[in-house]
Amino acid sequence: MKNALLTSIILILVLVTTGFMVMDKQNRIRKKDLRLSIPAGFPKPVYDRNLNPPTPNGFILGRKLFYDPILSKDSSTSCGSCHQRFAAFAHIDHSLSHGIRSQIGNRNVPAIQNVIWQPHFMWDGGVNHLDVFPIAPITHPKEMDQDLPGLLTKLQASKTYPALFKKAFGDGTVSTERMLKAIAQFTQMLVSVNSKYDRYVAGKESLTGQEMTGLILFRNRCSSCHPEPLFTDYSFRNIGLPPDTAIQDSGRAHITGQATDRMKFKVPSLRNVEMTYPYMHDGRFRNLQQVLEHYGKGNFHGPNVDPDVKLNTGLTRNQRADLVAFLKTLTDTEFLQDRRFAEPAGEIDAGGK
Amino acid sequence: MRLRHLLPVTILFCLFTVPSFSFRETERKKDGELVIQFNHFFGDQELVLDSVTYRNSLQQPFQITAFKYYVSNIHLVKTDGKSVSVPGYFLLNEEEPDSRKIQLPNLPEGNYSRIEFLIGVDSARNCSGIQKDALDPAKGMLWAWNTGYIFLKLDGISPQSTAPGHKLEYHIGGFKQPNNHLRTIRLETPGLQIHSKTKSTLGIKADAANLLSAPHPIDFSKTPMVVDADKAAGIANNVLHLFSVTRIQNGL
Ligand code: HEC
Ligand code: HEC
Repeated sequence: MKNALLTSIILILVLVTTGFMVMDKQNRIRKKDLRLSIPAGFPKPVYDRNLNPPTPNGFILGRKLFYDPILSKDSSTSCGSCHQRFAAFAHIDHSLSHGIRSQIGNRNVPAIQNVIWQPHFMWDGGVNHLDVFPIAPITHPKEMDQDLPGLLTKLQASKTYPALFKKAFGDGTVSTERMLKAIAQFTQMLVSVNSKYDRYVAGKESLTGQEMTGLILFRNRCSSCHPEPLFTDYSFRNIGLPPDTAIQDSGRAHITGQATDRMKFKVPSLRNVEMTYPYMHDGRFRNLQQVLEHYGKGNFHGPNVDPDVKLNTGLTRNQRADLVAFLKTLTDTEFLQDRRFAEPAGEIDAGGK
Repeated sequence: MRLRHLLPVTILFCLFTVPSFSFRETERKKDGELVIQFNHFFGDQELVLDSVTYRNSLQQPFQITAFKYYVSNIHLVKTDGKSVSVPGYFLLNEEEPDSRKIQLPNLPEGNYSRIEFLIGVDSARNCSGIQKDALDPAKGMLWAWNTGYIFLKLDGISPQSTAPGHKLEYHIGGFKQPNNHLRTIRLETPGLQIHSKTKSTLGIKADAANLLSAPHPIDFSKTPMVVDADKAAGIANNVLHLFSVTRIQNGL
């Protein structure tokens, strides 16, 4: 009896320690984990990594902040609650974002991937730099509703953050600049360049006949707005979606005030598009079939529809199937399962409330 | 428009006003000090937040709850035409008296006839990511949804306001054409001298009444809020009439 007790205690201890060791391994980031290898054919990133070079401690701090609900006013909502790793950091199955106090936002959560190439952010391109981006969701009343001075005070008063800021930046002072740079050290690493399509381009893997047909069709019909290798040119286009009368989203016009920009939205990348459903700025389409029906039907709404979609209608059932088959080759499983980007187990600071 | 065409334009206006740094950090023998003291008024009265009821040019009553603005890209022009530029971004806030005093400790000796400064933040600093100190976004002067600094903020309350809570909010910003609302203020400073090792003082009055009157009178019942760059054209031009020199005191 006594022996059994002792054995179980030892067993539990061993289990707990290995548990911690596994956790630690999963969370650990070394210098070489932060190297980027970008395949040939990609343009030069617009984000200057030299101005905010990721370090292991900076990245770990940024990742922790990304997954920590402390960033919201009532500690209920983290960046990660809207941006899910397995969905390329979009939000699966939610057409409009869900924020603090269960409020529904006005827009669909987009993927966060390859942001170092992105010249502007949001569906309307209103934000001009990756580093400042988080201020928008943090302070938005329907997202995290947290004022910045209040957040800095919470982080400074928490048990864990001053030590993490010290590790990352040399002393324990929490500042807006440090917090945002740390988050950007995490987000700048979200690079997806290893899909089946990429391996095909690199000559390492071949596409099936149907995928190939889809690729050729894609190059003819879609690449004026979704060009390879990023599958977007980040321009603003109106693809003739009828505006949602309840939301009244004017798109790019919200930023420029120009009537001709109404219903123009930033062309989204199609990388990992299989996983980022539902689609479009308001998540109106549940699946790729519905998206392709829209492009194929030619039933475009409004005066400023882009000629690149207008002149290019008609997609047969087979063509749609080929396109879907091709789009699925853009799924980058390595990225979607990358342990570096996972929510760190057991590291989340529950304190500081 | 395709991005190919958009990018150069974006880069151009981001780089357009990169400030020049000709101001020396190290103190030299012939350098003196200039203190620029900004004083906030409403007409002839010193500005008081919250408790005093003012009237705009249309005689609509209101109280002011916040008044702050950025001063940057300061240039001092000598009588011989040479100009000294002073780096730095200053957030002047009615609530913080110390913020209204700009100290320039190392200014070359000489006679100065003019001061020029920008109300706001040049486009370079609007485009280059996270900034600190006076430009720290925690100061509440950065638009998060349409990146750009608010150059000047005047908030208040008026029974005439048709906005929720009878609020008034005039937030002037915008650095991109066609909504570039950066305004350069040029003020004559006759007789201003800087002598080595002494302190001269330049008093500048900011009259908040002018922000709401000429040349673009603000009607609280029609425009209780200006919080978008594309609606700020009128009031942005009133900024040009906000400032005047009230005092020049030379150190000896
Ligand atoms: C309530 C849900 C929610 C939360 C919380 C949230 N986001 Fe987002 N995120 C969105 C939505 C919705 C958009 C699209 C916004 C728009 O276009 O108006 C977005 C857009 C983005 C983008 C731009 C993507 C692009 O292609 O333009 C980035 C980057 C991003 N979020 C990062 C973050 C970070 C970092 C945090 C935490 C500080 C965060 N988000 C918190 C919902 C959220
Ligand atoms: C005129 C430019 C243009 C062309 C051509 C074009 N697209 Fe798009 N695409 C867009 C824009 C803009 C959006 C976002 C619209 C919105 O959210 O309102 C979009 C959205 C999408 C989405 C949704 C992605 C997401 O994450 O929500 C898919 C999928 C898509 N396009 C596939 C295609 C395919 C396949 C083709 C070719 C048949 C194509 N597009 C042709 C501009 C274009």
